[in-house]
Amino acid sequence: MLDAEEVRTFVQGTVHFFETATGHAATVGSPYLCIDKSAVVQDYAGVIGISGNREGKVYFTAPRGMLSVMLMCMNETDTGEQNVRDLVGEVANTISGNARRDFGRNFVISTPTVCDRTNASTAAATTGRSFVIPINWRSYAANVVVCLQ
Amino acid sequence: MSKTKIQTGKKLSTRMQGARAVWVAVGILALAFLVGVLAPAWYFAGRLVDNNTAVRAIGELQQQPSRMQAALSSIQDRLRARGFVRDSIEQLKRATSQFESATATLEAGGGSSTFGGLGNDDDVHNTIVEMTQAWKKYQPALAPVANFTSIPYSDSEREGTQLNVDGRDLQQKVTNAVTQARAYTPQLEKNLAQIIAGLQSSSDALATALRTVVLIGVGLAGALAALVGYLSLARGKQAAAATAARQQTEDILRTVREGLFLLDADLKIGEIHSDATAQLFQRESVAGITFEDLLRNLVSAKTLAIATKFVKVLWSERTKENLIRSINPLNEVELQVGEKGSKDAELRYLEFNFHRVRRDGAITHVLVSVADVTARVALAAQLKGAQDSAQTQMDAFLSILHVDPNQLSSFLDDSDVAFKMINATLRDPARDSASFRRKIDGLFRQIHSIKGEAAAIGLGSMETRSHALESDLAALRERTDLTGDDFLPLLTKFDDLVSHSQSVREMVTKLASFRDSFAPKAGHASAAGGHASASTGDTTSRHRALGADSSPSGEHAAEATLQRSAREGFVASAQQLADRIANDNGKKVVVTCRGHDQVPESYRRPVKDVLIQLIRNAVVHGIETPAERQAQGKAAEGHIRINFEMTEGGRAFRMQCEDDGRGLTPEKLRKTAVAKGIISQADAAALSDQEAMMLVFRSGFSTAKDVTRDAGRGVGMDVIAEIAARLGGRISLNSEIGKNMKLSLSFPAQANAAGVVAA
Repeated sequence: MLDAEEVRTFVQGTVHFFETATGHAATVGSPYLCIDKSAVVQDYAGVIGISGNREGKVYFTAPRGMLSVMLMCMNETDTGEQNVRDLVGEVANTISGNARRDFGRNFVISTPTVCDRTNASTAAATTGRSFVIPINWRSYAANVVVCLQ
Repeated sequence: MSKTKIQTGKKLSTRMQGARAVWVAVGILALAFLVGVLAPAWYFAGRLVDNNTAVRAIGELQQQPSRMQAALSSIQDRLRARGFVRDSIEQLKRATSQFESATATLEAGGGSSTFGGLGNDDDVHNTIVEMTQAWKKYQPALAPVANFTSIPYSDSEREGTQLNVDGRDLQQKVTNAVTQARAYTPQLEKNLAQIIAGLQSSSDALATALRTVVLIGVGLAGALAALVGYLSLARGKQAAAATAARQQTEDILRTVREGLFLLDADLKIGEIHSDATAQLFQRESVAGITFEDLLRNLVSAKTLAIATKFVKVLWSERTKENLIRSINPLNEVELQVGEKGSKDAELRYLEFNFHRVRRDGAITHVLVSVADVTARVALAAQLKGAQDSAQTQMDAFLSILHVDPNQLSSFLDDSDVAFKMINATLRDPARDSASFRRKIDGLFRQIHSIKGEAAAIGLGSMETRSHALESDLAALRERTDLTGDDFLPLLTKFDDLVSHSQSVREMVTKLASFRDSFAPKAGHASAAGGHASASTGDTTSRHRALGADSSPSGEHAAEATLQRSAREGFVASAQQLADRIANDNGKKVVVTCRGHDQVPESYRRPVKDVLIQLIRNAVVHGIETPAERQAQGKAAEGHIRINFEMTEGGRAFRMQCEDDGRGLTPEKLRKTAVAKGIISQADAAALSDQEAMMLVFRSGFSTAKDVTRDAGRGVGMDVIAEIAARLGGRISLNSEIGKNMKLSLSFPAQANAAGVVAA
């Protein structure tokens, strides 16, 4: 059974990123299960693979509009494809850093990869159900998806 | 450490002790050499020096007799010639005095300063005696001359210079002395020559002895050098062996993955320890620190105190090592290595073992070995998890063996629908506390229904999980400010419930396959089909797969069989649920069910949900304990009567549930509602008894003192009210205090499609 505290680590890492990078706090929505193994990819997703004590994937996915606004809040005028991808990767990287800090050596975390709807299978769960945790920021909603065994 | 290596160590130690003894012997030999060879040599050399000194002194003395004789002759001649005699007398006096002094010294045995010591040569000694005797005879003749101080002459013009009386006396004494001199001078000179010869002979002997001693010394020195050389060679070999042994020890200590170190009586760690020790405790070195300091920040203060006490006890001879090892408090000690929250932070588990080290029977140290058993602990945890999982599966498997297959399939199908609804409720966007709270109320009813149905069919594993989920929801309901983060623990339990439901479905499938493989092909295909379809969750396909006969008449027959079976199971499960709850509450109850075949199929699920709540409510709140009932003149067993019937000429369907328990007490209901803050005191007072009884349908209302899996959260009757409202039904409640309570629910015969689907 997945530990709530483990999931919370990933969620808090994301929330913290929003607050520090954009200056606007994000809130956590009501989490739910993704019963099948399909990926809950919105427009873009930053994916980290996890092995060691736990096996699976964790990713942050958000709509393009939200990512563009985030870039603007970060005083970035270029909201082009590359910057949007970099931002998603950066959030995933922050989640990864938080997990490294909290779980130590017991978790082996891969370098983040970025995918979009065209290659959403990169984020697809390899094992079991996923926990989908909505991250509400301004009028937008992104998701942190945790699929660990 | 292997036995061979320990033995090698022992041999090496013995060999080194032997080598030390040999070197001590060599040292003693060297000392003996110094004393036995050099001391005689020193003595002989000293004697030689003394002899030489004596020879020189006596050689000087040898001239004195002739000098005395010459002085006497001179005095004699000058007296004859009336010449000046004083200087000759003085010369004689000096010679006499010197000889006298020398003779006395020689007689006394010589003297290192004067004669260097004459030793014990008898000939020399006899000669000295002889010479002394001669001198003693000769010396009286000389003394008057040597001591003459007067003037020997007298001058007159007439006679010129003439011997006076003293002069003549002197002349006489000189004449006498000259005579004596002629006699003794040769003897004295001969004696002195003999003494010198004796001394030279002694010197020769001493020189010979010295040469001999030196030769012996050289020989011994050579032997000693050879011995030292041999021993050095042997020592070199031993040193090489010791170096090799030390190297082996270092290799072992560097390579061994265990922490190894010795503790002394003050619990201080020794200088030598395995490299792994420092690594295990993340220290540069552990040498010199105390065992307490080593563990201080790694284990709790209580564990530290116990561990220290334990190690001290090892020093007591009275305690048996094997016995106290079983109470070792440092078994699988959890350590936080690295700063908590840091990248390198990790949990490790260490196992400490203690062994006494004895020397000559006495305890000198305690050997501590520390092993990192993290992998073992993780494996054990994994194994435990697997065992728990297997046990859970086995429990679930055993429990489903007692559950009616049709009921179970139906329950799993219904659960799947409920899970989707729960997930949909969770998924509904929510950003504020109020919307989170609304979710909780919806989730509560869903979970409560699953729990009730699981309890009704006796699937305890699902009931327990649902109850845990319900408890979390109840805790959240108490909160005033809710965020999505608060739902995470809930979600993990929900995930577990879904997983378990899937496991049960898989087991049902396996069980069905198992039954299929033993069942006759014809006639029993329906049951097999029923189970196989359960895994798909498709009730339509399940019905379709009831038998090989796919003709319309065959389908109808199968459908009828399944419905009949479901209804019979329905009654059985009602009694089963009542029995279980009664048993938990120390009560006895009988359920009588009539007209259950009147329940329209479309009402099957809502009726079941309502019935579960009614039975639970009746047994927990209505039926008294056997003792209470007997005290009131009632039968020990309570009775619940359930009746289904079509009414209003077939336009309505009614279910009634009546128990012969204590009934509802309006006043108690009012007080409970006020106490729980559901209504105010004034509103409570304004309620009629009938209205007060309807309080039981309010959400959160319960008269139970504690929360159990069957009561206490005030959600059961709430579910009934919600179902009645959704299906357009009417509720009526009648009760006679101390006698009964009757609840009637009337529904339209044709169910509202939307309402049923929502259920």
